[in-house]
Amino acid sequence: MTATAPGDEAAPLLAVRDVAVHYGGIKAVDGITLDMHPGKIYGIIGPNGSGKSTLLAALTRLVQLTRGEITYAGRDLRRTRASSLAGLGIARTFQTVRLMPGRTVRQNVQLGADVRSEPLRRRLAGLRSAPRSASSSVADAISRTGLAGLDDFRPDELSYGTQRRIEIARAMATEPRLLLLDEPTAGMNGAERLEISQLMRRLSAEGLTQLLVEHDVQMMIDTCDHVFAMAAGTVIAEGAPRDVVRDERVREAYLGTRWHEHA
Amino acid sequence: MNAWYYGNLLTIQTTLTALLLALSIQIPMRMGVFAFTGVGAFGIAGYSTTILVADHGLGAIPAIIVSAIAAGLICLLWALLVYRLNGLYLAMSTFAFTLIVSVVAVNGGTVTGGPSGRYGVITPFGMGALVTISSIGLVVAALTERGRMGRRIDAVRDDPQLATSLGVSVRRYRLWGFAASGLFGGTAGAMQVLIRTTITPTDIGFHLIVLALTIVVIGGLGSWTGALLGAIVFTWLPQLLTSASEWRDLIYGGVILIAAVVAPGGVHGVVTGWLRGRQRRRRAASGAALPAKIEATEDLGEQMAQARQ
Repeated sequence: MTATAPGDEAAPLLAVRDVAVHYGGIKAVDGITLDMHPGKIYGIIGPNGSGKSTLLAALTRLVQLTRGEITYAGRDLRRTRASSLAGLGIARTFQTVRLMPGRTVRQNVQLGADVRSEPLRRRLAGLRSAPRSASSSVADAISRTGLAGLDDFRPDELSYGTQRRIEIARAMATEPRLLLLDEPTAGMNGAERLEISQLMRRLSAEGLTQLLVEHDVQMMIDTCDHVFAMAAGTVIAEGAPRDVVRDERVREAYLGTRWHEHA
Repeated sequence: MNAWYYGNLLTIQTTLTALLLALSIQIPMRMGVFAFTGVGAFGIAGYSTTILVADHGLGAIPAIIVSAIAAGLICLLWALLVYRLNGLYLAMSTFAFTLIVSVVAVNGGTVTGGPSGRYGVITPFGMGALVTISSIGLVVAALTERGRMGRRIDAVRDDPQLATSLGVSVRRYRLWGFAASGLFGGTAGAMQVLIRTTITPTDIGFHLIVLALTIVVIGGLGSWTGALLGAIVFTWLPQLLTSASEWRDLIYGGVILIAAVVAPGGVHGVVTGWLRGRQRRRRAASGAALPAKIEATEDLGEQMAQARQ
């Protein structure tokens, strides 16, 4: 590792080493190494098909690694089941809206908080350690994502941008240590994007580590501490957001060759 | 009233066993698994209750418990065997499961009584026990639709990948779904034998799959109320139609066709749709529209520019 990510002196929360995901002959992700330190916001930019979403799927154990290793809080994630990640504090949103259509906003967000609430059988057995108020994390996530007053609406009654905020609220309700956001502001207007960006900065100040996959370069610059630029399944540049978007290789990969000559 | 009750006793009892049989298909279906293992469990528990009571002198309630648990375990083992299958292929494999049960019943020699079945399963099992056990089953099914478990079951069906990312072990839920289908179907089969005192291979055949599927599809897939409504309608409808003699099957088929076309969400779907529509109209009437959160302000660009600095 040559680049100096912010906070290199402390142990990273997430360490990705030479990770590759191949689908047959297609190398969707091919040798990625990166560190994510507590409380920082990381960004991934790259053209469509550069492997951003596959990397997120690899981090959340939804695809098998062809090689490499992922360590989260000192734990080898290759030996961790995908359904255990939420309990360990890894939450994610998806590129498309994935809400339960028949349920209200509150119930959708509650599904996230359910990770932290004890199942009935343990409550009956009296093994509940400390009384935890799951409803407060739900109410908190709803108000912080600007969904206050919409608790009893169903997703199909709300705008696309609002539905995306429900997704973020649901992920927040799991009380994560690491939040992975796959194009969270797609379909949002400028003011809504700004709100999400500001929300992410506040969460970062509270110590939440975040990874943002995003197409919008301005959103990236406004939000992230450290950006990785991907192309063809590898990281081609990384560093401070402004430096990365100015990087010659990134411009070529992302915006097409010779774009800068016209600019 | 009394005359009516005794005249229709068998139909009333069959309504309750049909309800549990329908739930045995509905519960895995609510987890996104199209499985008929409950019907096979109905047959397994029916025969095992016969053998336990008639050959080994076991009481009715112990026989039901042993048979239902055995059926649940067999369904769980079957699930482990076919878990890699999906959708229609999984449904076909569970279809094969019920056929295997039928084949064993026909060829079981003196143990199952072969094609003519077994007679004389006589116990004091009565209406009180039947209603109690069916009610317990219905309450358990209703509880799985509520709270944390209800949400998680919905997520397993609607979006297994999302459910996984929210800490739900889809595999564990679905395996439990199979075990539950065995328990419910098994309880229904055991009680059916105790009501009728006889069992033959035709009692556990293909028509049970059709009946159970009709009940949950027409009643409504989403909820126990759908299964209950469906069980009542499709146990009583053939009875009421006996007076229509040769038109009976035609009317029966017509009712199913109309229900499927007019109410694809089942009776339950019609009711919840109406309730939601009413809620929406009431909101509109009271003027409580969506709060306009984002006002299009003129200085929006300015705000964003400030935030970027």
